Amino acid sequence: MKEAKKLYDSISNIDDRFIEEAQAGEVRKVPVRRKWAELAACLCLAAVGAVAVLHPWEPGGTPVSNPTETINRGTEATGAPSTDNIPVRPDDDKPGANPLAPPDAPIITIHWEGVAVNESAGLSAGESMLCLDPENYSCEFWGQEDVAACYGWTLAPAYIPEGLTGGGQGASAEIWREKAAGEIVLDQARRGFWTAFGEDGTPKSDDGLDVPTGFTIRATRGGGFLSTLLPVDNARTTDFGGVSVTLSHYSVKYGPDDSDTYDIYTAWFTLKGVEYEIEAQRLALEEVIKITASVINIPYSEDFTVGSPGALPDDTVIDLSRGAPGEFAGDMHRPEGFHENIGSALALKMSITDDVLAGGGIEAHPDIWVEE
Amino acid sequence: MEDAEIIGLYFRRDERAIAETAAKYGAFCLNIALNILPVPEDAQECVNDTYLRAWNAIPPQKPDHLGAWLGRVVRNIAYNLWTKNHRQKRYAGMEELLNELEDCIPSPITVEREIEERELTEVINAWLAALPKKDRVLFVRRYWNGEAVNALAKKARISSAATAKRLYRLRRELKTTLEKEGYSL
Repeated sequence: MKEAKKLYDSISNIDDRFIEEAQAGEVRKVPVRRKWAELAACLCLAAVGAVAVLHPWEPGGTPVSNPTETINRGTEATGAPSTDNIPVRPDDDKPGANPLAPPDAPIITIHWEGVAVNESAGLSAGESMLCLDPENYSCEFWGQEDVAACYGWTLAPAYIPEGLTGGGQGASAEIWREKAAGEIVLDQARRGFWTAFGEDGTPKSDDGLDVPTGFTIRATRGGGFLSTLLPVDNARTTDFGGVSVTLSHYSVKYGPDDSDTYDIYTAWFTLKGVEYEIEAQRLALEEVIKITASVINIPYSEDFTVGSPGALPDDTVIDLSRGAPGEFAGDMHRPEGFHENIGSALALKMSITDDVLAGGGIEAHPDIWVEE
Repeated sequence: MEDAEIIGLYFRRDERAIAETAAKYGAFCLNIALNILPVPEDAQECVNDTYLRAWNAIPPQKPDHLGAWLGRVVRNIAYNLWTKNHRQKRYAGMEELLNELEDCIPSPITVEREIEERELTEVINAWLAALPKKDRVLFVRRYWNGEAVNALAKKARISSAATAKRLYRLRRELKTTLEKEGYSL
């Protein structure tokens, strides 16, 4: 025991940088007293919605005769997020219409002069979950099913840059409850897409630089995380089809003399009462914009525009079908045997699940039935 | 508030320094203390003592890394309290950590000389620096923060068994490193 104590004491004095490195991503905040009673209502609503989605199909996967009602409920309950201020294509609500018929070349338009990227001063020390006093609060972990029920989807964006996968891992969430009342006071759901994963499921680099390439999408309803990057005073926002998105950037130095850098971009926005942060590492700004647009542009709109309105000479039009065929909403296919009127969000999710499953990327969500 | 600003408050003898320290590092310090002392009241007392130590020590001290500095202080205070209470058989949570560290102790057969504590720290620093980041973070969180294996497994989203296996492998690697250098403890 004497030797172990000596070792323990020596470990006590290890270099500060190792201590700080280990705390990065940990939290540093005093108890937050924010109550969040609405979550219970959210869970109930989502649970009802989930039943509504699952019920209309028989176990064999036969579509019901009247899918319209299913579409509406399904979109609310388990579909990807939608916003009231996102334009809906006029024929979406018409019985018998085909709301998902994709345009030949799905595009978004980026007005680069209207894209504001805030330069951050550095990485936030508390990029992860806030920490609460364990005496008064308890922590629990949710799997993908609970995430889908609470947040409305499984955090798999419609657009995922080529070469990235979910590594067979679904969405998860960390939830803090006040012990006395049992109320949830903090929450964070997350899901990552990376070029490679280690045996333990953590992202890893697939090239010479020991920094993984990919992105994480995080969501919270009650306030559960701090921004990855230090906030910028008077940060400017970028309009994504009517949704204000705060784009931020920081170049992280690395290498023997900090001679090299890699980029971290974040996109922060709120949809339907859920705060999101997309944190991209070693991805180009254009990819970050595409990912963000694919999360916000649900139901799919051909007129989706990023940046201020009013075309200027240097506008850039990006053909999303070029970069990652088969992954963007407009390229989705409807699983065989599926009714043509299946709701956009649900069909989108199923299409994504089907596509990515085929590539070994993401686990199937139990609420999503995929026709074989 | 940035660390430099908090330290500035200490230097100006502004009592808001304590409040800002508690706001930024209170939970961090409390978790470290709780990892060593399972009695919450004792852990909270250690954190309060840490604030007092900071108030008395800064200035003249001016920590480069306030978080690490505070963590080290609370760790020492908590360990001393654990030692004191351990003698009184109040609890024995720390024993598990020390038992694990015994895996790192070099075999006496390979020993050339006993290593000094400061020198041992340098060897551990060099060994940590050579580890992949995820292994380094895991080792530090277990043996510096004192976090439980189950908690580390949950954070890493891997099984407790896999986490324990990784930690065991790391302890054996440290032992091998010390033996190669010909050190004993």
